[in-house]
Amino acid sequence: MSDLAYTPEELMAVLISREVRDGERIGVGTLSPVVAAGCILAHHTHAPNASLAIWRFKEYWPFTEGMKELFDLGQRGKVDLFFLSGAQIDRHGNTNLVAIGDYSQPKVRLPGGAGSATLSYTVPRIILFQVNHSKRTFVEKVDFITATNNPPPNVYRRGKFTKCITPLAILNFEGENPLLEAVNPGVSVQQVVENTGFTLVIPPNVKEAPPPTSEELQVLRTVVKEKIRAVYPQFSATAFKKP
Amino acid sequence: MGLPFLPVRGLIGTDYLRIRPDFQIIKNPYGEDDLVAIPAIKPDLLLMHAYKADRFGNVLTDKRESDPLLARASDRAIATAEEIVPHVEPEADKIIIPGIYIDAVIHLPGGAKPTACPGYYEIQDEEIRRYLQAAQTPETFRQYLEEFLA
Repeated sequence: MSDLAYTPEELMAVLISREVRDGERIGVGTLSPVVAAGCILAHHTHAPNASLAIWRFKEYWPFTEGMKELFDLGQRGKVDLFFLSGAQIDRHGNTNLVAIGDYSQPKVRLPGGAGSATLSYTVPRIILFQVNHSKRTFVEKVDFITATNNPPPNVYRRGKFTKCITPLAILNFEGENPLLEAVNPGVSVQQVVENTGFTLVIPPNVKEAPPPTSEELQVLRTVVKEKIRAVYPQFSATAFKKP
Repeated sequence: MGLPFLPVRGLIGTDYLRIRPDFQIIKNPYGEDDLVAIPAIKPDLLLMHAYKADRFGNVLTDKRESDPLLARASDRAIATAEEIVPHVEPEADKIIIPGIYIDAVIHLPGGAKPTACPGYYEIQDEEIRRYLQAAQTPETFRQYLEEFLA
């Protein structure tokens, strides 16, 4: 294995970190270790002036009134970037964190959304992520719309969901139809198509995301790993390779 | 806050409005947009676990949690605590919920187990796995509860 071999979690953290802009105020919600890792990586590389609010992280949680303060900050227009996931994500970019199957008789009851249905309206830039890229997660239509990418008119809404980062690719939901924005290093277009449950627009000469640099991996496997360990010990133990 | 509802931005266009007929779309009386009226949640009782408590009902909890909000929203609030001290004092990364919001405190070391109580004990992974396994069926869960409470 070469020095630059990396885990899928490391790759996703790097791709997420590259989306973070210096000086932004960023919210990271519950059960998002890969996003937390990406944002902390950005903070230690190109975005030292980013202001991070990462749920449960002592060093990165400025609030004293619980999650409410992050929602309030979003309502005041002061959160620039937020990350959302879904157990299902559909061709429109709608996400589902409530139930698989019929809501009244669910096959799986999911944790539910909090930021999904509120911060998605008040934060101008929302990036989706899903650590499992398969036909089970990327579906034609979600069973329950927890966050919508197409709210009706006459509703306060600051932006569309731009893209979704997965271990295989970056999908873009800004247009009418979902677009394959980039494949991850070493991944073929065919692989992405075979693992996506809706039709993707494939532009000619799809670009390949640049692989993680040795600097990114170094920071990830030392500083970031250590910080993640306090909140997500199991993730920290398995997601990172040795420095 | 003691108010019947709050206006919320969001939710319109999601399936939440389908399953929650009590969430009502209202016109912003001071603007152009539609908002959702969300009725207040009024818990009868809050049960929370704190680091420290004193005999005046002041409790010290983690500043990252929503416990202060819950205490202010609930009709009655009971806090269990790792330690009972003469006077709860401010500490870094922690927050005091004033005794006016707390009806009773109980000295209960280990009260957060098998989850973590930072500074006192870590999460018990093995016990959480056992719980998840036991929670698969009502029978195994009943058995788990009996063993746990024994």
